[in-house]
Amino acid sequence: MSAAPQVTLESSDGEKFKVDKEVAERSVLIKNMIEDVGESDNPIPLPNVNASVLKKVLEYCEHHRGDPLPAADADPSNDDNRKRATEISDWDQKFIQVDQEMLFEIILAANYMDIKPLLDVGCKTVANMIKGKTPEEIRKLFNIVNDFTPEEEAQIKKENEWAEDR
Amino acid sequence: MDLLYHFEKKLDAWINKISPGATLPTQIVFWLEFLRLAIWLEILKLAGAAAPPALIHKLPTELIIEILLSAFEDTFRSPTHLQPLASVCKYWRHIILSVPRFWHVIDTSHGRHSCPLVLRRNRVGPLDVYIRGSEASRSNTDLILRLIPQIALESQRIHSLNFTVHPGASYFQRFFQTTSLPSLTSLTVAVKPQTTVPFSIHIGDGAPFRHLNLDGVTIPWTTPRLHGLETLSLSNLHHDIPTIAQLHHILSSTPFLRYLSISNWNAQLMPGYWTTQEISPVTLPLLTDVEVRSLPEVIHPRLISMFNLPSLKNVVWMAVDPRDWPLEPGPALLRMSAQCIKASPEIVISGLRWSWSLNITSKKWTNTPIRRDAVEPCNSVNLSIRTKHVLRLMRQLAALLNGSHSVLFETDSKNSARRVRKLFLRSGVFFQFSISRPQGFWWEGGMHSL
Repeated sequence: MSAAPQVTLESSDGEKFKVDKEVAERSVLIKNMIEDVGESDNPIPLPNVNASVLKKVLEYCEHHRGDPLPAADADPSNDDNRKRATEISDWDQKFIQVDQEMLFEIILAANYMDIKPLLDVGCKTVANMIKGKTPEEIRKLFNIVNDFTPEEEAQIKKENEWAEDR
Repeated sequence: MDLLYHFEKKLDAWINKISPGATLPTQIVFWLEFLRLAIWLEILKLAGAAAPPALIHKLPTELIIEILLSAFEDTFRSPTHLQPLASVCKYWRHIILSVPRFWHVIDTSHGRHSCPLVLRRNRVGPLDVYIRGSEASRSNTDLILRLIPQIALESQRIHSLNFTVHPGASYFQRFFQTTSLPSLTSLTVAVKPQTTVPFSIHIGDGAPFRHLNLDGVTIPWTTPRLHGLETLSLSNLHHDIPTIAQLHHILSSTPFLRYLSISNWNAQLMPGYWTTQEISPVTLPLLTDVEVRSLPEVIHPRLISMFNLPSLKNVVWMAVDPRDWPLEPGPALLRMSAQCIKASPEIVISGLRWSWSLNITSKKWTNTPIRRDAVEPCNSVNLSIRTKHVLRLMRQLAALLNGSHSVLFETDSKNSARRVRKLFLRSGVFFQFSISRPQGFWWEGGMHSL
């Protein structure tokens, strides 16, 4: 029995990862690169992803290697598609329980490597962190500076009162 | 950036002065709007660059938009729910105020200011409209009557319409008669409270519907807009019920159908040809969820024989036969639900007692309606069958199960338990009995089939 074909990926800090082609091709970027370049022993460079993040991304791809790929023409602005795509399974929830820095790095890597399901899991996780929180709580959670002037805040408050008036 | 922001404000105010229906060429309004959006995008880029240094702001603007949309998704999507997000920092505020996708829901329950606000923030994008008129109060009706003309002006870009209407409201049918909805792909109309008064609405030409949910309302069943449905729910129909040929035609042209619900059709008014017309089976390759309740008894065998459902995962079928009816839908229903039954590891069977009513329910079933937006619906069955041949059905059921299944029988008769036990012993199923003998008189001695 012949072994599954493999490819080598190289992170931005020079670490090499040998993975099954099927796993690597969860990334549309890598799939396209392999199609363009053809079979090669040369490592595929990923200059925007460091080793620790790439390791995590590959863990995700390995777990989901047999899953059906999302439709290429799925309209992200469609409510149904967005809702379906962003429900998080138990395994994914555990997988994404990382510190904020790693979470945003995973999202950036998924975006760069074009792994839509992982990108959705990351975005939904951040959205869940935001839901039900006050502006002050959100600022504290993400270390966002309140850059409104007192006048602007007063204006916003006034607009909000107007919107609430039924 | 401030300069751009002020310019955009001026442009916005200028566009606002153009009243709906004004003689200004549509193209000019479109280009003004386009210019305004282009300026907003520029503002967003600058705002992103100037955003307070937080880890989340390392993400590109389009991802922050997706995150904020997702955070907004599960709320009632009223402008008031956007306020906390829009009050975090200037960058987020710019995003929320400028991206039309945050402003796609017009809901009469969001108050009188919401509709103009949404239409001001989203001048070209698709709209989802909710008109909630089931409450017959004067103020609610006044509000709806005031909002409907504004909504009708935007009819070309309404993609989804959810209309709840009080039977006494006259504006409802007029709205459909006078409004063209060519982009509409999702239509939900419900008459509340329920009435037997016939309600039929006019559906003009336009895009095919993807989702159709009619409750107490009918439409012309021959419209080509029904071809290509993904979800279909028809309930509380008392007049103009589709004939079996029409239903067959609709289902034959919906290869993408995932969810089908048919319930509470008036038995007395069913046309006789439901029972006489010959029909061929329809294969619905993607259909995962079927819900059928309270239909005239004659329909059940016809409906069951109409379906070929290779992907069926969840089935709710309340087939309660009149005792004299010669065609029992039970065996055919079990055959149709076989894959769901096989995939349900824990099953409860109740009703092995005085009546001819038998319930086969998977434990996962919680008696809540199937969620049509569920990601990966688990397999479930909830069948209610009235039959004269319980033992025959039990034999058929036992053949579907094996050692990986567990079945709980709820019965009030030791005799029935003994008979069923024999059958299921052979199948290797893990089973147990819950035998109760409630005190009473009217069912005593009523065990006939077991």
